[in-house]
Amino acid sequence: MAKKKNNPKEKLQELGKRVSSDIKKNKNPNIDVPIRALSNVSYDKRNKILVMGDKIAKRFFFNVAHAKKFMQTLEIAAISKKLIQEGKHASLRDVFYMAKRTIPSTKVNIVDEQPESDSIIEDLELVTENSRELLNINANKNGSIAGSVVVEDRGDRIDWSKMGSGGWSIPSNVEDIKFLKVNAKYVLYMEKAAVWERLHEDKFWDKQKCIIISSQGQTTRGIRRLLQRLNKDYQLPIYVLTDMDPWGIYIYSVLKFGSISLSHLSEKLALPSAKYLGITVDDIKNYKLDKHLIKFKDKDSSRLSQISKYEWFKDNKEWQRQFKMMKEMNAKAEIQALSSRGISFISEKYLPEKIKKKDFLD
Amino acid sequence: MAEKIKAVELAKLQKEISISEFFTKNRHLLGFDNPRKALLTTVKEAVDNSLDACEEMGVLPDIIVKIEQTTDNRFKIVVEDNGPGIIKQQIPNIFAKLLYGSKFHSLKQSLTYDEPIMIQKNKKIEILPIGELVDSYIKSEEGIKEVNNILVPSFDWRDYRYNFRKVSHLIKHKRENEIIKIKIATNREIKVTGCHSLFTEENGIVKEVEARKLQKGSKIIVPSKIPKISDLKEINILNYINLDDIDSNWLYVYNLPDQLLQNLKGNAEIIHKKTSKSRRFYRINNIDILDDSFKQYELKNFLPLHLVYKLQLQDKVKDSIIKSYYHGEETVIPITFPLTKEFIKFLGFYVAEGHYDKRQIGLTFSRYEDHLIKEVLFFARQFGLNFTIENREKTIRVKIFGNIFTKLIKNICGKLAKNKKIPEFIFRLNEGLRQDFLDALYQGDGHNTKNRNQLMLSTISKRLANEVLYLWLMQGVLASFYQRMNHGLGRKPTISYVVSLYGKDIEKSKIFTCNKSLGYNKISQQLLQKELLLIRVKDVEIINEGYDYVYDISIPECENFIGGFGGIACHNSRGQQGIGISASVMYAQLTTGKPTKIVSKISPKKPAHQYELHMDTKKNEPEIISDKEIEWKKDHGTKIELELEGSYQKGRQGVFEYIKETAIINPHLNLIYYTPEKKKMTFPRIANELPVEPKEIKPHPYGVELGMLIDMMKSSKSRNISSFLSNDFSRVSSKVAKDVLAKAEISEKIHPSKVSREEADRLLKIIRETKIMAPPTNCLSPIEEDLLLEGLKKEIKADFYASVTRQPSVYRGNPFLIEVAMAYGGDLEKEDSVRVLRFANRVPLLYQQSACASIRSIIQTSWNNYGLSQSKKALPSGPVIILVHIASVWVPFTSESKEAIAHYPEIIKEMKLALQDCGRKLGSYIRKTVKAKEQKEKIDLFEKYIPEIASSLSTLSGEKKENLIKNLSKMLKKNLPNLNNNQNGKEEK
Repeated sequence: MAKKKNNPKEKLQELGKRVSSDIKKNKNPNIDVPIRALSNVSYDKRNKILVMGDKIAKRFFFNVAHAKKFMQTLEIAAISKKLIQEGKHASLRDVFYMAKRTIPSTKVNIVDEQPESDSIIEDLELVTENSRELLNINANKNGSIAGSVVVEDRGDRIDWSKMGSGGWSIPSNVEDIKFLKVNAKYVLYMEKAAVWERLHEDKFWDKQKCIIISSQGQTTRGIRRLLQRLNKDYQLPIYVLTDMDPWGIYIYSVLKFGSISLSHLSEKLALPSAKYLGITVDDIKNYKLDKHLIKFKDKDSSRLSQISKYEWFKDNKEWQRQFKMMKEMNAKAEIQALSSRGISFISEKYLPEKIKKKDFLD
Repeated sequence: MAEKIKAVELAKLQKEISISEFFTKNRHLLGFDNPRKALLTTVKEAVDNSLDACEEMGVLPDIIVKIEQTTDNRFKIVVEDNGPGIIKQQIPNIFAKLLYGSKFHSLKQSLTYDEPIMIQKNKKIEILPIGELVDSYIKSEEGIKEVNNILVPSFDWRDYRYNFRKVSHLIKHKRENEIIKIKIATNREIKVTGCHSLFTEENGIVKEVEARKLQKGSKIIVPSKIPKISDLKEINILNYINLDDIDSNWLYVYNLPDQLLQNLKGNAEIIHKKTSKSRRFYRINNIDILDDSFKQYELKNFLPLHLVYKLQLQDKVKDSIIKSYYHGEETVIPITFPLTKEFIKFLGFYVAEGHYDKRQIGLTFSRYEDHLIKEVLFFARQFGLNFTIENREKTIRVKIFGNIFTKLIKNICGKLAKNKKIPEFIFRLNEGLRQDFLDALYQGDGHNTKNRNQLMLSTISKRLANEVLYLWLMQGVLASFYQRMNHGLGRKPTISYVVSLYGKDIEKSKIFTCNKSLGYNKISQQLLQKELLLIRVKDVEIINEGYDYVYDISIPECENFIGGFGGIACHNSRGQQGIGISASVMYAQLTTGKPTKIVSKISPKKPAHQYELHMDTKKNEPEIISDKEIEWKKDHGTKIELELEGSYQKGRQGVFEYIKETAIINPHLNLIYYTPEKKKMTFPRIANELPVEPKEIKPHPYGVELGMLIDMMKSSKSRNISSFLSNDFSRVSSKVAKDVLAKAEISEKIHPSKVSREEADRLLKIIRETKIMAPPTNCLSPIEEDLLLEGLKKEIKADFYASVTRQPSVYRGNPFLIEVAMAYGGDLEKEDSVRVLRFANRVPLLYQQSACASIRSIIQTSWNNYGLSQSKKALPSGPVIILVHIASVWVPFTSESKEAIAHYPEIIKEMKLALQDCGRKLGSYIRKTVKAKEQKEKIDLFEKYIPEIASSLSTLSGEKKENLIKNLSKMLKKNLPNLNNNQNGKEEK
């Protein structure tokens, strides 16, 4: 993506002009939207990231099936343009409410639910070749971070080691953050906020000279971007700690290779060098967790078989071995299962040992 | 004619039966059970008559119906037609068919004298021969007697549960048909006249069946349980002892209630009689009591027992005691006996083992029945009875003394083994005590053969055996029964009756148990409904001799009772057809006292006459009480006017609905209806041709049942059975006749009336196995798709109509044809279940919808395929009317009220095919309209989207909003036609 000619405001204006000229020419107005689906995503083996293909859908106005989406796209584009003009940022939720109104003399809302506007925003990222943060739309902040790091954000100096028990909460747009001091050997990302709190209380980041980050569930873009910067700019290895189940593994997968729906942003978000620390199936044996497993439900096993077929896992022998064992075990394990061995077992034994031995999956 | 003469003779014989009595008794069968139905039935009968009359004459019917409300609950109904009119002589026959019609005559469905029935009379239970019961009321040869103190167990058609219900009439008449003895598994049996109905099942529905149609292997219904009657706790023994039993004994009632004697004296008349000297008497209830004696009574507050009876004080002295003296020894027993378990068990032992002598009763036990003896003695001591124990060679005899007690036992339980019976109050105990009685009975006379899992009771009293069967029924147990010959040593062989139960049923007992390791040797029975079991018929026997009189009872509404040996469900049906307008004439007269007016004109050249018809209920004769010529502008026609009590109902079962449906199904009818609100409603004619008159055909051999075949053979004019078959049936060639006769091993030459029942049975079986061409179907007269559609369109406003007329088909040898039509949308209710209009041979069916084959067919069709929503086992819902018409030479109805079509598989199949055919048409219409509607709504949206898009675009590009709107609107108009085609197109790549 070229940087100079990529001014979001201009891009939005360009979109408007193109459609207007269609109308003037009595052409059925349309917008080109690259397709965001598994069918238009491929795995770049060399760079180890997911990349988007070049399939494009034309979104027409005069088409019963397209009309509404067409209208939504323009509506949200206009909202974004106004935000940029006014120099204000809105959250995804804000944008949803700005667009959620009833079209006069009908019972039809422009958007009915937030996923609709969220999806249009992702479309606009592709149409304008700008990430949503640049369109002045932010996600909700989410996640906590702690470590021996000092940054500057909007002129404030922030020391990640002095943020009390909650840690610093990561904003959705981390592009403008400047790192002033980074004193860490690696970054540990974990799926569970509760585990983060455990490690923070045990001052794990201090003892281990590392940065600990968590978000609840799927990782937000802000965190992924921050991880990428720490990884690229400071060469810090990224270790990922999730539950041992298909959902945890997919969190790792998204972090490392990028996600299907945001494959256009893989370059900016993916962490090809990230390593999976645990919980692995071998950990179950090694750390005697076999009494603390949760039986698979149907949706767990079907998700597992889906994941095992993804191109980026397909030829990975080590991962296939894990999948196979998990399938045989027909059970999953949460990170917190480690607490069965003692509340600080994870910070005093499990993590130091795994990291020392470099017992990771790639 | 022959039948009519017979009927007249019969009417003469039955002078004492009032016609109004007959009507009142049967009103529910005639469609007059409530005021609402009375009004509707009258309109229906009159309109049906008019339609028939016009069609017969070949004129297109113009009918006027007028209902006027004269008082709160009285209505005047006028029905006028342009039919042929009626000549004076015919009027009584048409409007008083109730008397002369065959209906009255066919009231010949009865039981023989000796068939037991269970009744409750004056609170007491009796199981007695029906003849004995009826003869006690009807002393003449024939008659009908109204009663109101008799109840019988009878099941309700709504929930098939038994309850004691009132008997309205007892009936006795001479036997005219054959008697049929039916024996079923469990050996229950009953003897009824051939046309008397029992119950069977057809497609899971309870249905009456004439006894003569039953054969070995048929199934009939028996009750699975007789309802409990009460929970009797005590008896007044005086109710079980007669004056005859005590008058020669020294028996006195002591501890009389306070004031009893004073009150008697106070109400007494004082008289003087002269014998040797003048004496003073108190005369109470015509009983004279010497004043000196009365002084004695007052002194000790007692009365001799015989006076208690004579003065009818039995109930007043229930808390008193009886003292008796025998050889100077005083015995005291209470008048009220508590029905304790000990007493009940004692009665059971007595019925099993006891006998009666003048002053004692004896119970003989075998030596190893110690425990039973103990129970008896325990009871005797408890009641303060004198007893002795005699040790005999192999037995032990317990003797109990006491005048009054022994009489009581004799009266309630019978004297000797041969005439033992169950005390009537046993039937009124609670279930637990009833079981105690049965247990004692089986302990005494019974036998539990564990290896066969059979608990059996052997008795030489047939009456007892029957009563035990009924008592087991009260316990919910269907016991079995058989006879066996005993060849005692040096004695004449005797018959004993064995009542037994098997397997699990034994567990009902508190004493006996079944051997669970053995399979249950149970009589094959099938629970059909809540309290109805289906049992196989074992044997059918025709009896043509004896039984001069036969008997019946009538139970309003339910029309069934339990009768026969062991208890079988009996129906007292009244024939098939409705009784017509004559019932309305009668009803009008009974409720308002007004005569029916009939105006008739038979030709334009002759004047119209107005007659007033009155029914002389004493003479059983209709009377034309006035006849005058009047002006009537019609060429010909009939007008009937009657006033009756009724109630006018709107809605689905009302007059308006009936008229509307009649207009739909009779497109050739022109009808004007003046409602009670004085509104004029017109139902115009849309077809100018009369429906084709259905042709009569001979019955098809597949359709005859045994009874009918036998009747046909008896009355056939054919000289031999072979020509009978080919002449009297359709589709039977002489070759077919020859073949079936050969297979049935019946000589071709034999005269049809000489064919035995067994042979007829065999013949019928062979016929059913032989392939015979289906009957001709040109005898049916469908309405046809076009007219059906027009009829529906005319009366029901909807957006879409469809109709289907199926090809004729055959069930049981009867040709029939199904037509279905539908209306959709318009003003019809969207949310409710679909409405179903049902017709049989062009007559609307308004009642008993849920029992009708048409409803089952609709439910079984899956409407989701045709765009209607439908939940499981329910009618679909949506703005739809479904019309189902069956035309047949013989429409099978589920019951005599002719309100629902029976569930024959062939009929349901045809109905479903017709419904599916029609449903497909409906489905494709619904899909099309729904799609088109959705599409239009979407296109409308474009217009609304345009300003939104223009405003967004103007924000983005700075273009002028107005220009954009103008351009887009122009494009929309131009592109409209293409949008439709585009709508399902995928996004281009």
